Amino acid sequence: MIEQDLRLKVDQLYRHARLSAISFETTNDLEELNEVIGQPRAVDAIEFGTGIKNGGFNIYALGPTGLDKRGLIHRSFEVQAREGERPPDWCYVHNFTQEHRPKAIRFPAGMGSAFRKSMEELVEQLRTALPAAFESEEYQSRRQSVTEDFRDKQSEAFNVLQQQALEENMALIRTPSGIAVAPTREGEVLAPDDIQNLSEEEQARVQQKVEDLQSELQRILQQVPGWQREMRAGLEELNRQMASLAVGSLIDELRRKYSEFEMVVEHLNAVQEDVVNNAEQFLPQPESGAPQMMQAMQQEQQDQALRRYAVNLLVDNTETEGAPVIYEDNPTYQNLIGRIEHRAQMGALMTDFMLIKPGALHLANGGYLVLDVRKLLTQPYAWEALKRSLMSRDIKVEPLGRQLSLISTVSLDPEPIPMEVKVALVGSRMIYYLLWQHDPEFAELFKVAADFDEQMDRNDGNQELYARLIASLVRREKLKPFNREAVARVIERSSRMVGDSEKLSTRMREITDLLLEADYWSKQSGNGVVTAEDVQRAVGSRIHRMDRMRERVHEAILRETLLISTEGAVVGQINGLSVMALGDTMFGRPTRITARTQLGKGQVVDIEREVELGGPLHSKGVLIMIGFLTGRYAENHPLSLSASLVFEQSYGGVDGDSASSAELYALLSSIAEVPIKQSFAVTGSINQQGEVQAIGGVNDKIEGFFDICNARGLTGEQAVLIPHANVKHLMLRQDVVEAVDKGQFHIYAVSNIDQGIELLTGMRAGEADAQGHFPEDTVNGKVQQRLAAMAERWRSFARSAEEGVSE
Amino acid sequence: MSERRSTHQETLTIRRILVAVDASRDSRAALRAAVQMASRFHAQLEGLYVEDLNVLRAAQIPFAKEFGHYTGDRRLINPNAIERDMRARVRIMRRLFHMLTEQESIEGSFHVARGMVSSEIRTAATEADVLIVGRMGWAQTDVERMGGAVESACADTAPRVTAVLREGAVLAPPVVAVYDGTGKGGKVLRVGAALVDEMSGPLQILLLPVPEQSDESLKGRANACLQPTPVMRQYRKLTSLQLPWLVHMLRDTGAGTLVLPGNAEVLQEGRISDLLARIDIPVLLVR
Repeated sequence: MIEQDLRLKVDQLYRHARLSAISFETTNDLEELNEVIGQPRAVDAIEFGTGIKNGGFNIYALGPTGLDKRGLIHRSFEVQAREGERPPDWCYVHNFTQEHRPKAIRFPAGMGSAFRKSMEELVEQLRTALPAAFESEEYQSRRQSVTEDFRDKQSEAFNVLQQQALEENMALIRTPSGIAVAPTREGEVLAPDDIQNLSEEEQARVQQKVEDLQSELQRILQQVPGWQREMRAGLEELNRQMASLAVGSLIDELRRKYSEFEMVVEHLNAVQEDVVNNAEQFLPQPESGAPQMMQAMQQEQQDQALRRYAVNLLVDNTETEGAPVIYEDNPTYQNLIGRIEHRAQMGALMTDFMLIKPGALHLANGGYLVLDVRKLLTQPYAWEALKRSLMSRDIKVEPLGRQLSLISTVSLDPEPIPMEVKVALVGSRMIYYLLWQHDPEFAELFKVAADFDEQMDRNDGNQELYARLIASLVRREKLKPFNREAVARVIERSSRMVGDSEKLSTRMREITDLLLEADYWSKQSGNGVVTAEDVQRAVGSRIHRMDRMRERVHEAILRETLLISTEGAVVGQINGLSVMALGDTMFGRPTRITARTQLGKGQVVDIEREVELGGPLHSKGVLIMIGFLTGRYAENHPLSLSASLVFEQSYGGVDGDSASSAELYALLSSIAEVPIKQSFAVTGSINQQGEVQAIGGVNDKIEGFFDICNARGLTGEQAVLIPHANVKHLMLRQDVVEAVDKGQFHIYAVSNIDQGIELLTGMRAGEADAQGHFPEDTVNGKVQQRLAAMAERWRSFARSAEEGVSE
Repeated sequence: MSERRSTHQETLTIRRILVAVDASRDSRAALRAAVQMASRFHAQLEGLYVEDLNVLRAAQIPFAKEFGHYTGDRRLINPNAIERDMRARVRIMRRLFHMLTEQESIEGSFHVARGMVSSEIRTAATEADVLIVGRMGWAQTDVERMGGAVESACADTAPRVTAVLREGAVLAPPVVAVYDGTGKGGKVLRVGAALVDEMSGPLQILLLPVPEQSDESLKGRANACLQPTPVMRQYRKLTSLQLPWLVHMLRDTGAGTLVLPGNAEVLQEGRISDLLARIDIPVLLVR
């Protein structure tokens, strides 16, 4: 009787998608779905995070992969960005007072490129205007005037001296390294003999004259450097005047054009000052007769010098509409905050402000930036750089090498650019919680958690939305239309993906893959539309591709390498069910569990744990089982047995408590010495009250045992015991459902141990009377009697031992 | 050898060129120009280095001191150092002379004389058709506009043609010849034509204003002087004989080489030496 009550009916094994509320033949008839389904919490969080403008309210979208988190974030940002303001352009220009610190100038969108063009034109105009000014007759004559003044000043001084010398029969003589004064006669310097022949007085007079002239000569020579400085200053002033005249009108025009931009006017003033001071760089290089390579280098140096007046348009939003939304798929340190490039010049690495390149933060400034958190964290220093920018709300381009003090070459320290970016990180829950726990700044900067759910409720309304979602995906991927049955099959498969007939998967990547594969098989079949069979084939082929391991295990069972009985009855032996997960595939496999009991101190030896193959959850299940045994059967006497439990032919780790009910059944069978039907397999965890609790992977477990039975031949006796709480999770394969329908295979849902043991042994479990005694011809009664007997034997052993000691 | 060149050689015979060098940068330019000219006119080149006796004597005066050009430092003069320095300069210039003449396959000789610079150059130049000097050769001070060698070039006893060059200058087109309507002016034109024949471009002729002579008349006489030379010519009129105007005209025409009469009267104001001081191109003075 109990067997009939607990046996599940066919309609409990698989929940079909009834789309009766929607009228359509193919997905072509369904409306596009423009809303996000199944993620109300995440959507609310994203809307909140996108809308709030305060700092720190950046978003972390957490959840497993395949939920299209990035897509949803990106679309939400794009919607918001369309209404957003177009961000400004940013330029770097040369800093004429601190060369290592380029200045950042902000322009309204589109004006940055105009300014760059203006400066390019200015340089071109200067290339012609300045040479023209310096080649002009006015300049040449004024320059000559300055140099002539200098020459005249010197000449005059020397002429006076020479004249004085001449009058006194002296001459200025040029020696290899200087000038000397010597006495002369008729234009020729006196020979030493001639001087010797002079009287002493005359010699003294000549010497005095020479010394006087020498003193005067020295005075003049010492004045010469001062005159030269005066001449250079005069020439520099002349150059400045000429350059100012040539440059002034050109730059005035730009100053008027950009008068509302204070920084630009300041920069133009600095440019004017610099051009005036360095006007020669615009002049054609004189023919130096140097080798061609040297001339090329000189030209290169001149071009480099003119780069000072160029504009590095770092961020150009001319073509941008609304606020920018940027996804940086390679968030390295440099790709985030920008970099300063170098170029090789004469074997040295040189840089200037024109080699500053923008990072994703620059491009997203004024808008939104989406980053993959795992990639971000695996890039050295990228995470720290992002946090620093978010905290300081500016972008500072700083070479990593300098930050780490790895290199000491001269580099740039550009002015930071103010930053206003909404950042969304996309990543797993684990990383979110790790960051939250271990990085105090994380909670300050990413205050909005958008927690994505892997599943959604499966109700009529959501099924309709899901159908429209499928239609949207079909259109987006340009697939053949799916007919009604195919859509239903996809929905059903979605439930199976989450292992719950009352839920639907929100892993859009997997759903999209299924649609793509179904479309492929449909094309192979030559169908006009994608049918349920195509979907089923896609499901089957996907499983088959990943099925090698399952086949090997099942083959080992069928070849009795792994011992699994599916008929007969054995004491202390039961078929447990476990799930193996490999990558994105799971399959169930039966495992033989055996129990042996003997007189002892109330110990249950979990062999898996003893050899360190059992995990903590498994051990917990075993301890719960002891609690149940003690509580039910050994209330009035000590539990005087020793039992051992083992997963036979298990060579890897075992964890989870889903086999605890099976272990208890095996133990009860061993204690009561009542055999268990081997045509059954069992899954379910227990509590200390003997209630059977839900477990995971129920579908895979059932199908795993079914496949073995089916291969050996279905007898109508084979069955699986599952917890009643798992009935709602059943979305079984069609062949399993069909076998059940034909009575060839059965699935029982049990709520407690008594129901299970009755099904497994065919013997009543038995209920305790008021004194706690179970009827003798029941499983519980036999267990109670055996345990009582063991306790008695244990007591007698104890007495004998005490008497032996006293004698 | 072109037919035209032989025609010019009938009127301009250059067989011997004297270049006076003192190892200054200007005199090196003079040496290069001399080699260039000797090669074109197949002339014999003579190099002359004059060891300035005045310097040697000054070095031996016990109370004479030397003052640094730039520092103004006072120091004793070492006669031995002066001698060594002169010998070193001679070696350098001799080596350069032979290198250049061998490169151009010119017949040449290099001599060293010790004495007064002007007289030694004048003596050596008596047998030369052309004298070439560096503008700052044997200058007494750095601030002088030209050295003692120019004195020889401008002297009445200088050869028929003297050339003065400064650092970096080479004989280059366009050749500008100044014509004053005199017989000496005709010689100037023929020297200019001979140079043009070896270079490219027309001969640019600057007509000086001559009282009671029309431009056409002057031009006709100039053409007659150049007959039968088929050289291309361009005429420009100089409105004033003042030095600044001439300098301006030369700059305006972008002159590469200037040929003018060697007499001082060619200019209304200033001397030839003033003109030499104001322009950087090679100047050939024709007597």
